[in-house]
Amino acid sequence: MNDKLWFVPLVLGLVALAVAHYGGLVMAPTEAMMGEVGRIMYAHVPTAWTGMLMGLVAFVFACGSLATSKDGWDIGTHASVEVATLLCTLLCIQGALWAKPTWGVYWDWDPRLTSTAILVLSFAGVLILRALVHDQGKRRIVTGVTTILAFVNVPITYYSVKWWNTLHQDMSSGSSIADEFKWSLYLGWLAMMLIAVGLVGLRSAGLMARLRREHGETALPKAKQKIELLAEKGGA
Amino acid sequence: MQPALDGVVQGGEGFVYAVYALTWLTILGYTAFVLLTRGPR
Amino acid sequence: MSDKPSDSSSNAGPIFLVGALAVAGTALGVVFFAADEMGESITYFWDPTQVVEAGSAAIGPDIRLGGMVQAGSLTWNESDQVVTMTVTDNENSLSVRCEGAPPQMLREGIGVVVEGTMTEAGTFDCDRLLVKHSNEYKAATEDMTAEERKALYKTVEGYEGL
Repeated sequence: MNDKLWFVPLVLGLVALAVAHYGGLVMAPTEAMMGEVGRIMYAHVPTAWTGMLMGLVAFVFACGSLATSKDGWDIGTHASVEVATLLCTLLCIQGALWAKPTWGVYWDWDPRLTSTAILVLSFAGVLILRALVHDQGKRRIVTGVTTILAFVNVPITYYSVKWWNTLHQDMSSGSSIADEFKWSLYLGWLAMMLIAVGLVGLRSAGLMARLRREHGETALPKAKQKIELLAEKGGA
Repeated sequence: MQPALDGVVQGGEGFVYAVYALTWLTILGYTAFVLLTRGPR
Repeated sequence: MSDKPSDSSSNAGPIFLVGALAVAGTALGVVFFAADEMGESITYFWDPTQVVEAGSAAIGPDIRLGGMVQAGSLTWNESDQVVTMTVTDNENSLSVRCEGAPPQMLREGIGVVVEGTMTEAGTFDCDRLLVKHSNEYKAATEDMTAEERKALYKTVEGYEGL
C-alpha cells in the first residue's frame, strides 16, 4: 500500500477540525452556566473519545500481534499506543485548564482524573519498555502483553463517572447537550478520529521502514558480521 | 439556577484560547515529528 | 538468548495472548463486579446523609462532603472572605463555612465538593471548596440581557490570587 494515502485522512481531519473549532469558538452559543469557558468542551470531549478509542485500537493491534507474530501488527500497536498516549496527555492538560475556571482547581484526585492519569502512565510505560528491548521477537511480546494489560484501564476510566462519586461530571451524551452545540462537537470528534487514523498510519509506515533498515543491517546476520569482523582483523 | 455571586468579572477566555492553542500545537507538533522521522523512502 | 534470531519466540505469541487476555479479563471482571460494592468503600466524597448517619464518628477527621448548594442559603462576606451555605442531598443538609474566595462558578443550586472537618456544633468547616458542574450543556437563552450574560461569568474579587 502506498504510504502517501495516509495523508488523505490526516488532511481531511485537519480541515474538519479547523471548521469544528471555528464552530465551537465562534458560532456556538455561549453556555448558560459556564459562559465562554464552556467552549472548551468542543476541544476536550472529542480528544477524550478519540484517545479512548485509540486505546481500543492499540488493544486490537496487540491481540493481532500476539496471535500472528507478524511485525506489522506490532508496529501498529506501537503507533496507536503512541497516539493514545499523546491524546490522553493532551486530554489531562485540557481538563486542568477547564477545571480551574469551573471547579476552582487545576487537579483533584477524583476517580475519573486518577484513572486517566494512570492510563497515560501505563501507555507511556509500554513505550518505555518497548524502547528498552532490542530483540524484535521479544519486543513484540513485551509490547503486546503490556498493551493488553494497560488497556484494562480504558473501560474503567470510561465508566468511572458512573460507578463512583466523582468531581468530574457524568459522561456527555447527545441528550445532555443542547442541539445548537451538537454539530460542532460531532464534527470535532470525526476530525480527531481522521487525524488519529492518519497519524497512526503514517507513523506505522515510518516505523516499518526503520525496522526493515535495522533488519537489513543485523538480520543478514552472522555471515555478514563475520565477514566484517574478519575484514577488521585483517585490516588491523 | 441562580446567577453567580456578585463581584468582579474575570476574563475566563484565556483558558479557552490556551486549550485550543495547545490542542493544535500538540497535533501539528506530533505530525511534524512523524513526518520528520519517516526516514528515507 | 539475545543471540537468537529475532523470530525466536514467535511460537510463544498465542500463548502470551491467551495469558494476557486471561489476566486482563479477570482484572476487568473483578472491577466490573465489585464496582457497586467499591462505590461504598472507595468513595470520593460523602453526601450529607452519610455524614449525618456517621454521627460523632464524622467529627474530627478530614472528610470530603458533596452535595447541592441549597437555594437561598448562600452568603458571601467579602470583607471577611467567608462563604456560608447549606449543602443538601435532598434528604439531609449541613451548614458549611468556608474561608477564602470561592470559585467563580459557585452559585445556588450547583453541586459542590468541600474538604474539611465536622465540628462539635454540627457545622462543616471547609478549607477547600470545589464546584461540581453537571454534564448538561445549555445555550444561554436569547432573551437574556447583555447584563445577565455578563453575570454568567462573574467571579469574586481576590479569586485570581488563590
